[in-house]
Amino acid sequence: MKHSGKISFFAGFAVMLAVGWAGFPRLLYRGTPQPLSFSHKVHTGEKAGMKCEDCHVLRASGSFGGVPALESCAGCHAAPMTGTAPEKRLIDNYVTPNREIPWLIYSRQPDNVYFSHANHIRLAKLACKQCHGDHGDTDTLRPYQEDRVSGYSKDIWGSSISRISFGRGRRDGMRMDDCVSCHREHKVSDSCLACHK
Amino acid sequence: MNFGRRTLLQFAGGSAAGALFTPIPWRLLWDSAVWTQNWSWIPKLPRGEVTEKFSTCTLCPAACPVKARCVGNQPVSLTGVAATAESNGALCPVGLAGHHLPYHPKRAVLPFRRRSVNGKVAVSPLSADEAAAAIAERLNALPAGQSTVILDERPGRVTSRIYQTLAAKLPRGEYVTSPQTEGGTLAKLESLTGTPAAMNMAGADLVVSFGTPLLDGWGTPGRVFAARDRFRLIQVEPLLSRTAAAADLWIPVYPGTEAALALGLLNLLTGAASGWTPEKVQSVSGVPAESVARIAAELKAAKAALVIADGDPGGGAFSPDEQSLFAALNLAVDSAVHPCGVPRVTRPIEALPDASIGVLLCDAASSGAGTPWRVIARKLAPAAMVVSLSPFLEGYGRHAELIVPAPAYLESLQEVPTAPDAPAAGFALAPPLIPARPGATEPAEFIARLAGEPVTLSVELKKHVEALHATGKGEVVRYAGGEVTPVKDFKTSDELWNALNQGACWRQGLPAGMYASKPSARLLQAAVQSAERRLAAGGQTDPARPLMLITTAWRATAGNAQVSPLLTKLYQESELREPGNSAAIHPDTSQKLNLKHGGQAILTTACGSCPVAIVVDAGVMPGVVSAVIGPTVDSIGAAPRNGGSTIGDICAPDGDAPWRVTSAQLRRA
Repeated sequence: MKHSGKISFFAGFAVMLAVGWAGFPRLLYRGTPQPLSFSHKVHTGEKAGMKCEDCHVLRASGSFGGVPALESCAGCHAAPMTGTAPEKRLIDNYVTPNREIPWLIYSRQPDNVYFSHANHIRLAKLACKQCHGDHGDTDTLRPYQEDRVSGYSKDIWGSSISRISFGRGRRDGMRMDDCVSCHREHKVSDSCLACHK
Repeated sequence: MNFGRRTLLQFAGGSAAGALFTPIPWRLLWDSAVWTQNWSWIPKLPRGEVTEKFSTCTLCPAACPVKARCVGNQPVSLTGVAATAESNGALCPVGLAGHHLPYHPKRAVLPFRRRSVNGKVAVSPLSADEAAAAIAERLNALPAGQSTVILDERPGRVTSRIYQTLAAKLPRGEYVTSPQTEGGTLAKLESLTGTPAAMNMAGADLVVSFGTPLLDGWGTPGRVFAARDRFRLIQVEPLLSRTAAAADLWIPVYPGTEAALALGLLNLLTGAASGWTPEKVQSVSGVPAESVARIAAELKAAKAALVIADGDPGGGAFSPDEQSLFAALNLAVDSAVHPCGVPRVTRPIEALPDASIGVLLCDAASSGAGTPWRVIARKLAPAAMVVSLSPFLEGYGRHAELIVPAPAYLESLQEVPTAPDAPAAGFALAPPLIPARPGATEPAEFIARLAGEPVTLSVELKKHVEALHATGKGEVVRYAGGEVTPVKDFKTSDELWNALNQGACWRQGLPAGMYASKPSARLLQAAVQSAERRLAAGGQTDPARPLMLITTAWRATAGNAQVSPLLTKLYQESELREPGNSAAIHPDTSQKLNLKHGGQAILTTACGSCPVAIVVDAGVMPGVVSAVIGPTVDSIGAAPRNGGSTIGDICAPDGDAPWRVTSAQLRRA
């Protein structure tokens, strides 16, 4: 057949494109469910009416509390409020034995990065959504996806493996070049020591 | 269509080409780069809640408040505390990296004994009880004429009082202090007048500093810099140091002749040192006569002057004779010295007869100064037992037969006495931020065991806090927020204790007046005579060693102190500081000796030789070698145990003024 060579070549080309764009991301990440189901939507919705900073505290000193400790949850859920299964698991597995919930942090930066929430929220006036997207409105916690090679969370690279996002109103990814480009955009220092202290 | 080997290769080629248009190679490249930064043996930071804790730095006498950023209770960074006037947020590089010290490569974690067997060093681990038994055995057989000595590098603590008590219970026990501690001029002032003294640098309008690195590691840096804009600084020293470069006036002086300038000043101010005309001062010290007259005029005109002669941390203290003169100068002017503070009990080791120490117990604290071992060694009897209670193998531990490691910085409750530049007495606790390693023993408690007097340091500290509470005097400054609470507002001593343990310091109220004492004619005469005696004794150079060696060190990096290996960036990579074992000489001296910048040379004194790297620097006077003794390669854990000589090892102790000037020879290596 006259064009059999080209067909074989382009077949290989097409197969690899499919593997690279569809199969590889699935292979690369290992998904782990969160220890407990949690609805941000319920907590920030009309019924509970909480704000992000009610649990993710920015202390007066400027330090960021991160993921709330068990005592924040126990403040309301020491006894059943809703009677749902996740709440029962929360009380039985964590509140009653006073055991911290081993949340898996989607946006955890590597150890060599110093990141100040205070600077970004108070000085730069960035909204939580700008980096964390619509996380605060979600009804369930998606599984934590860990890069099998680097060990980093998928959120560091970004949800799209191509790192191309179209008009989503936020940066997709938290890699160093994301930080640097935002700093340059806002004309603030992007020296090494700003983050690697 | 036939499927054959060719088809397969075409398919593979297509796949390879296609792969370039997928994220696979590019993403794996990034991931593998990250992967190499996360090898399993690289220490990982703990995960956990990010919190802030407060303590007080104990690495030198500055007593800087410290804020620790902790992740999961592990301190991961230290910074100063801006909310207090004690440090105004400043912390030196040594303090910033202080949380590395518990993990220093030369950390001693268990007691051990070091013996020389057939010329080789043999090390055998033992328990603290066995170490105590070995020392007790030696104490019981202590020969007549030999003493048991406790060496305290940080006098003025509650621990120091414990040591004084314990020394009396040990066989022929003596309590001695470091040859060099900051605050030497004030201590001499106290001993001459009998009144405790503290300096009010914030109120001073003129400071005359004799070789004291006022702007480069003296006192509490944040407090000094906060006051800097208000006073004029005259720096008298033989080289253009960082402080001299930043001073308003630098007066170069021949090494060892600072007392001549002080005599000239005293003569112009009081007439007491007759004969010491500006011209005579010029001939002895090299300071131009007009400069002598100018400094005297400035001292006379100043409303609140300070004369500070604490010396460089690596340069050795001025002799008591010279200090009398500097103290007298403070009395002869309108001084910024308060009748305040706490009496300083010091008994320098020089006061002991040579070869008289049978057992030397070296406390873990560091004075911040780099005391050459030879200064201590000359007091040791032959076959004396040296016991280091430091948490490190280096420093005095390098020469010790027995090492009984103390908890490292941030590992145990410690106390912080009055800083040398504090305007009034102070006291703070340094609460532990990490647990001590098993096997670490608190030095005071270990020595108490030897003396048969059980002591628990925390109990003694609590008693001290109870006493502070009982007086109802002073105030407490909390590091978190800088809130100031009068002591009388603490209902119980437990409240005060808890406040201090959460990060706070107690400080005495400032007195209303200045130091009222004026120098008596007798005091002046005695000071002049002793300084003249000192000047007559010095200045004799050995023709075989015609150069004058003076030494400097970065505070808390030499002697018994260790620094984080990461600080090598400051002096090995960035050259912001000269490394240890570098020797700076004037261009004329380098030309005369045919030595080039960056070249290697051998520095020889009466005590030995040492290789040095030459730095040609016009800021050093001709005929002078300025050598850096700290930080040494030992202190960063890079040198082999019991390695070769360092500059500190070859400095020659000189009577009661150790190692300020040593005759030396320099030749190309």
